Amino acid sequence: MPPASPDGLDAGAAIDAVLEPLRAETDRVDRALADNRAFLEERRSRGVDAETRALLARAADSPHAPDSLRRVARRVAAGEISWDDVFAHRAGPEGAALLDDAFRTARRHFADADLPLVRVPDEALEVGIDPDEVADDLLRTRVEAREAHDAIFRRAFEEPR
Amino acid sequence: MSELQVEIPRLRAFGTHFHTFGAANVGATAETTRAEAGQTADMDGLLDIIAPAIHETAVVFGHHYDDLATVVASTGTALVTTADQYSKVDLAVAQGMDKKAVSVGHQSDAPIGSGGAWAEHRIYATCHGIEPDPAKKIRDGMDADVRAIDWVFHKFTGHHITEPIDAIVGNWTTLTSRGESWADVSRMLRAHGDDVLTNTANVDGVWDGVAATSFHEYGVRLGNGLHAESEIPLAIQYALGQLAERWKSLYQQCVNLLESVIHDVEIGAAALAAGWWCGIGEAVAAKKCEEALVAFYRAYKIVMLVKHVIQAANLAVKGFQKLADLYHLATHIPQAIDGEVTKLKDLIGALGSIPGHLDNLSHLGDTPTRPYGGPSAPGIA
Repeated sequence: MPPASPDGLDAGAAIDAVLEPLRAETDRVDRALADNRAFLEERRSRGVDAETRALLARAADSPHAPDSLRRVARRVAAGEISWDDVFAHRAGPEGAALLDDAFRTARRHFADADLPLVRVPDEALEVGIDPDEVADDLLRTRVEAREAHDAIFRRAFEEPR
Repeated sequence: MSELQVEIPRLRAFGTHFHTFGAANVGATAETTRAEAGQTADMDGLLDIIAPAIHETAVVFGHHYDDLATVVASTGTALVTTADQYSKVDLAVAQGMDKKAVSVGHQSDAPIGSGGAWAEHRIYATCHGIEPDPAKKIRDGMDADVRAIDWVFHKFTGHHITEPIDAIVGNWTTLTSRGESWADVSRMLRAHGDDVLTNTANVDGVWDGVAATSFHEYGVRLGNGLHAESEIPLAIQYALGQLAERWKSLYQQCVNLLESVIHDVEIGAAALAAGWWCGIGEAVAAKKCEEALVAFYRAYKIVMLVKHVIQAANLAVKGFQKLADLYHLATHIPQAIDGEVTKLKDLIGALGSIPGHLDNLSHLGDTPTRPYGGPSAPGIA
């Protein structure tokens, strides 16, 4: 506990008053961090959805499928690994080979394709921000802050020595 | 008639020490505050938001500590002046009783070091370096994963995966480093407070009476005030530390959220390939990118949180500037000493009319008696 000042001013109380808005903000940050941790935990526990698993299994039967997909699909079917292991990069060289083949194939055939933008899901909108607005706001803030910070050094050079 | 005891040479020596202590030691704290705690040349990116406040606060407190240094130095000057006045009073009294009495001593006859147990600490500030930008290390692995699939996310959403994290620019370890400089300032002020309290007690041993009591109260007040003031730079360090800690946590979590985005998009990319291999994958890929947007929006919200917590810390650092004005602990030389000097000067004037006054010495009031008791005492013939 800080000592009281000679003028009877309670230094601790004065300091607490100055720190109060910062403490409120750090509390808000801590709540957001906890909420995001829970969100990520839930996302990790979901695993690869049934629709995607079925799609990959079906593609493995296609005559156009690469060997990497066939090998991984066989191991998944045998219960040696799961599709989650593949996308968590835990399926060894075969899993890595499949991802390489998949990314290369997707890029080759879809990079120039005219695909419509997806709808922003409600769960994302509920976060309460617009990425473009945030980006613009931050850019503006940084330009203004840079200007204010640079002014310190300009003044230092302008001041008579 | 009140009794007063004063060892004039030692009081004068304490005054000299107080003066040097104020001008040099306390003065160094002011310079350290401006040069080290107010350093912002290594702050860029979002740190530009708070850098001006850190600089201005250091300037405000630097000037405030300049004032404190002046007050402590002036306290020393006042003690020396008081000691001189005591000498003159004694000489005047001696001359009043013996016209041949001459002063053979001078204030310089009280050498530095004769002030007895003068105690002084010197706390030296160090230059606290910053660490290499930790953000680079945190996002290294993520960047490698992004390269192969960012185009998928962009095609389906119009965004690039790393947009949010690219916006959070700045090495937050500069805040920790600057906080350590403020902690140095705090240690210096606390040591000054300790020194003032110790030496005030030491002055007690060579001077008592009404003025000495007032000086004692003033010295305790000044020492305690310096202790109270030492809490402010510590609080600034706390504010900067809180910001650095939250910034790091938010940055790390932003990366975690984007890794979740990457995970979804990798599945989407595989679904696109599967679609090519068997003809039905685009819808699944689109769905995965849609799901990825939830984590992506959360990552963007973190960008806002980083900005807001910086702004809150910025307000706090600015707010501390006001506290510099709240401490009127020693903005003037203690009135008790000023008053004593005036009183002694008046007394010397009155003694000029001796021997007329010799028949009534009772008005001499606090004239020194023991152990400094007259012509045979040190400094006076």
